[in-house]
Amino acid sequence: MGKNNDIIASNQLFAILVNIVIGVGILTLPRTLAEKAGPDSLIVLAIGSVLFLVVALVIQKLVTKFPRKTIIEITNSALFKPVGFLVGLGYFIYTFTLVVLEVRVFGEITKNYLLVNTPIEIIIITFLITSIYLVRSGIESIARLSVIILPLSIFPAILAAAVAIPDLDFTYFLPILRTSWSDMMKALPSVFFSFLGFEFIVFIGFFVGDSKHIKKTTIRTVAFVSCVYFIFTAITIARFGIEESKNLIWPVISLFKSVDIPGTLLENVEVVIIATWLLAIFMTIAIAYFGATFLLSRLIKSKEQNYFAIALLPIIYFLALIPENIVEVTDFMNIFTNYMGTTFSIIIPGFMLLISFLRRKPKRGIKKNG
Amino acid sequence: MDRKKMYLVILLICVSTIVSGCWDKVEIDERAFITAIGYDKYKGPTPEGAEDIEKETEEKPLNRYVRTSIYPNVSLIAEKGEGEPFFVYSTTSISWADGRAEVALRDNKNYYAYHLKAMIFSEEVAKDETLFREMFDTFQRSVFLNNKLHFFVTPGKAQDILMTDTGKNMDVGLYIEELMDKEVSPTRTAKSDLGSIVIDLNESNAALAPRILKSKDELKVSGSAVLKDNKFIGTLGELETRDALILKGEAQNVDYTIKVDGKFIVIGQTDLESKMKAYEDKDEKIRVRFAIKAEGDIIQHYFDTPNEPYDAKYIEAVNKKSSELISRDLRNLFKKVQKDFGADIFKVGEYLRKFEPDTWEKVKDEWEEIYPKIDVEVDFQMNIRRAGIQG
Amino acid sequence: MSNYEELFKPKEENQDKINLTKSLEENLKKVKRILKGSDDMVYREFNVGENQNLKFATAYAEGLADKVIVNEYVLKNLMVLARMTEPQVSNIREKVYELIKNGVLSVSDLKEVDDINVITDNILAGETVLLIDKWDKAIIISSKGWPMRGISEPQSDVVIRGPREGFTETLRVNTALIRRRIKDPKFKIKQMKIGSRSKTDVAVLFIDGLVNQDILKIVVDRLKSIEIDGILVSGYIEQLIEDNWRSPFPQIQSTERPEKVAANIYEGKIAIIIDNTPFALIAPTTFNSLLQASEDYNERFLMASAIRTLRYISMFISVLLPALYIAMLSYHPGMIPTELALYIAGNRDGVPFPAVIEAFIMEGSLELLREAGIRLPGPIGSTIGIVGGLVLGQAAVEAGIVSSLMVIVVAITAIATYSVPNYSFGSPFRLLRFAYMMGAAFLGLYGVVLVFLISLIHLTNLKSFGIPYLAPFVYNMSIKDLKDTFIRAPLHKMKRRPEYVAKNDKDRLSNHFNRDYLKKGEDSGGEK
Repeated sequence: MGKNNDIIASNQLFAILVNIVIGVGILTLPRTLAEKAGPDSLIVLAIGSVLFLVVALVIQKLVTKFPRKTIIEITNSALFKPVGFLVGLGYFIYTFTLVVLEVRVFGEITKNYLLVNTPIEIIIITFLITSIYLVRSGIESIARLSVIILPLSIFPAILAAAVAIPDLDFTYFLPILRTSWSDMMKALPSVFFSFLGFEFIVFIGFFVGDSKHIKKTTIRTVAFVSCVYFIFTAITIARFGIEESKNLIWPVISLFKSVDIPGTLLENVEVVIIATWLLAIFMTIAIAYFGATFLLSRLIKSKEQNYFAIALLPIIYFLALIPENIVEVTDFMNIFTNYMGTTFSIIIPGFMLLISFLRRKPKRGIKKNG
Repeated sequence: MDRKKMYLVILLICVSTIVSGCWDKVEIDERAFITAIGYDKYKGPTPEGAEDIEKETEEKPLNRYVRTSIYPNVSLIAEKGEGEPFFVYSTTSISWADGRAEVALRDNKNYYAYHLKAMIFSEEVAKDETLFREMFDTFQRSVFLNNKLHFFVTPGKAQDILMTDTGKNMDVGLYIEELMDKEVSPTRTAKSDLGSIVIDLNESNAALAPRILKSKDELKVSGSAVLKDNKFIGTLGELETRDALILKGEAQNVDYTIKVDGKFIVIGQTDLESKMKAYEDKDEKIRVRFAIKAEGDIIQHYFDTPNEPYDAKYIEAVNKKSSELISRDLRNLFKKVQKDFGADIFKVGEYLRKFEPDTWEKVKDEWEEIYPKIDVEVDFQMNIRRAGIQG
Repeated sequence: MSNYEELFKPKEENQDKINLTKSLEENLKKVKRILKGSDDMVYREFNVGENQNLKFATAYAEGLADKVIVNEYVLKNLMVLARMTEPQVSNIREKVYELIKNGVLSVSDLKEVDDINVITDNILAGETVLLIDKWDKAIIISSKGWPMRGISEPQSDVVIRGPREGFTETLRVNTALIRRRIKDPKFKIKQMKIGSRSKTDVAVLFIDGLVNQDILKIVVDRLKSIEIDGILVSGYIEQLIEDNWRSPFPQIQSTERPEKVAANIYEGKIAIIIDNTPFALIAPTTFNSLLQASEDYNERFLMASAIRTLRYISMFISVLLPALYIAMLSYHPGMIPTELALYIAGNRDGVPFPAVIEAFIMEGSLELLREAGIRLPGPIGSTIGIVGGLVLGQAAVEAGIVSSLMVIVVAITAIATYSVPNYSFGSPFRLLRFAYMMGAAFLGLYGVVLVFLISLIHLTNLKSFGIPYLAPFVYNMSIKDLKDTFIRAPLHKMKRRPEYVAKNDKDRLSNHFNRDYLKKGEDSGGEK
């Protein structure tokens, strides 16, 4: 990699991570929570966030331990060479699949809410071409754009949701802690997986210039995202009640559908909110896309990352169109997050950290003595 | 050179897609902004003999609804053209989509329901659970239906309501919206917000929906329809609706007429607070208790009775009397809803679920049977704060 | 610490040096040969001294050199005054040059040169050359003086409260205007000549120790690398040294206002002044600084912040409004409040074109009107406004070709476009507007979002001399960075220079300054 265009600040890392994490998950989170945890949704969400913070800190520890290294090099130095390649390949497939799935979900939502008769192919292709432009611009541009897009995509939504406050009925969160522990445990993974995307730090951490701030960034990211999740889950469930929240496929969008901002120039703000949400999902997809091409170029030790971006486009496009319907997509997404997500966000980073501790310990002792 | 050619090809592709594209583009003046839709039950061929041969050949349950939709004459609104203030299309149909298709065959404008304001069911449609559930599912499922729309049940024909000429140069949909959204309106009809009706049906399996009536050339919203188990089960009159809303603490702009010492005294309510409490007493019987505090002004007394109302003791007496009378009315209303309809529109079950989860665990399976038997206690307290400017 | 001197070292001259000889005649001949065919040259040979034995010659370009200086302070002194003082004959041979230089010529700026090419360059720049027989050097007498426009109020950067001075076409006047505002010895004005034929003077202005050395290096390197025959206006330089020539956005700010230049130099930026252009260039430039007007700092902060915010909003309006109009009318009428939607639908009833075409017609004719208005002389220019605004607009609506709402949209867009304080910054928005309209026509709101994303990506890619164009929005997401953006914080809160430019000396206002201190004085004053 050239010297230019590959260093980001930890503040920008925060924006990038938040942008990756907040994507499709937020739209369905209130429904999954209402289904599984009922009135205790918020409590489960809080517990899940704290648990994820622990996982995030583990991943972060690994990243800070090896500054300016990607997961491939980390694995190589912790274990031996081919393993690094395999792990890198795994992460590549993981990010790539994530891109494919999110592109499809994005296409479905856009088609559903904005452009009913436009072929989904056109929607997906225009979106992918735009994201290629960003992917080819490099990580610094991605970082800058993340910083700009983050407020643009989140604040309008929070403002519009705040309009619903007079109609909210927070008694829907009663009774407290009546859900059985086993049910709550079952609901935890869905909270957990709504934070997926954070593990991208294992290769985006490579670009961070001031790696000593990564820990703070990690905590800030998880805190910020869980705040956003908390706000939207609370407002959505308090607006619709448990039963209705279970029924809605995209409860958060329905929330905006039910919002009526009096005396404005706009009615039916959900269209506007979907437009701003498009910015968020764009960032998610573009960053994941970037991650995929970056990992690929690292695996083959090629410097032509920009060409991979174009080469991957038709593959993403065709894969994204494979699932027959939206239900299939969500089913696949659940399986994907359950297995792949666990593997790549908990097992591998945790394992690597463990190994690096075991391997490094004697060295440290020497250093201390000397 | 190659690069330039590539750009040229990309440009050509872009231009051709843009030119051939625009799949969703429909100009605003080519749309029919449906403002209200009404459903009646289809009862055999209409006198005009609008039988659809094509449909008869399909062996399916045919023509279940009469669907009426209206949209305003926009030229008239922009003061550009003349003509009827609105257009009505009525058709028989199997389903929502079928009705839409039938209208699309006749209308020169593109159907567009995003600005739908009112949805009116005749009682016959509302009574039929199948039809009711089919329709409600459509409302909830469709992206292009606004769920801020007003829902009504009418005892007559929805078609008649929609065809009313309000004489105000607007169609019924817009008229109803203004009627329901106006700031000062008496609480004698239920809230019409479809979204909250759906939530109530989901959470408590019972809801109130407003009724709309037509008399001559006038529309009137009056009283409410009780919905339970996803169908219409009965009606409440205007004052009964008012009482129901007082119990729910949602009533505003209410006035009470009370007979004290042979005089009719009218008290205008300025503030209302209702607290419901449901609990299980020692005998394992569920009780519900409403503690309602109301504040009000005397707005009518009796002329030439100097200083009579302007007297603390007198006011106290009126307070007491009115509290008593209103409490009795409210209790009766609760009992009526409870016994006649068995509909938990006051969300007693929801209250138990939220605040008395232990009790709810015990009763939730037989709630349908228990609810009509629960004891009710209403403690309405009227507090007259002002007596106008005459002593 | 500062290595700016090194940066400005001229490149090795390719031009051969032609040395002066000791013979005046030969020297003069050489000069005349180089300047052959230039009939505006004036040569004057004359003798000086008691015996008239010292031969002198002057040469200057008529119209460029100030004749008064040449006549009164050069010729007169040499020919008349020199005779009054009796020179010591013994000294005369050796010291005559010293004498003339130090004792006779009563002009302040003299230079000794020994290269004929330099001499001719100087003559062409308006200086007077004094050649002396039997001496292999020549004296360049500063005599630049040509009729020039006085300092007048700027035409493009108008303010209500603020200085009325604007740059003129003369470089020296312009540098003086800035020097008057920065009386710091560290303020440097480094000059170079660009253009192999035009030999245009270009001055680079900055404060040593404040300026970001990296940026300075980029600027100077780029300036030096320009090899062109002539620089006529500042736009040449701007386009030759900017980072991305494909971008519609100007990456260098140009202004007519000296105080704006001075303010930017104080921020650690670099100004480039080009002779014959009443515009100074400021680099690096950010998106944000192009939306700042110099008056903002003259206003109270509340008002200034409000105006800034308004400006940002108007920027969005000027780009997005027609596109949103198309998207909402043709794709998402559900977004418009019912009553308005019905009104628009009724109003558009009978308009034969789709909203897209309607918008293109109106926006196109607006640009046409504007172009016509600029090119026409003043009094007729206003007629265009009347024809365009009243006659055409009214008639188009009445004829039913466009809807009246479209006219309102176009008008608001136009007003919003002109509220951008920097003229050249307004044009990318005018251009982008059409791209947004295409996006909206093709894919509705989704298309608008796509074009918005593309333009945002372009902006994040853009850099001006190594500084991200969207600074300071793209760094920390902290409120601190936004002090001088869509709000303008009170002056006493802006204690530091913008961090993305100034790397060395960051403090602008002393940390000891605070408002409480002022209040203390007030209290004790009140007690008396």
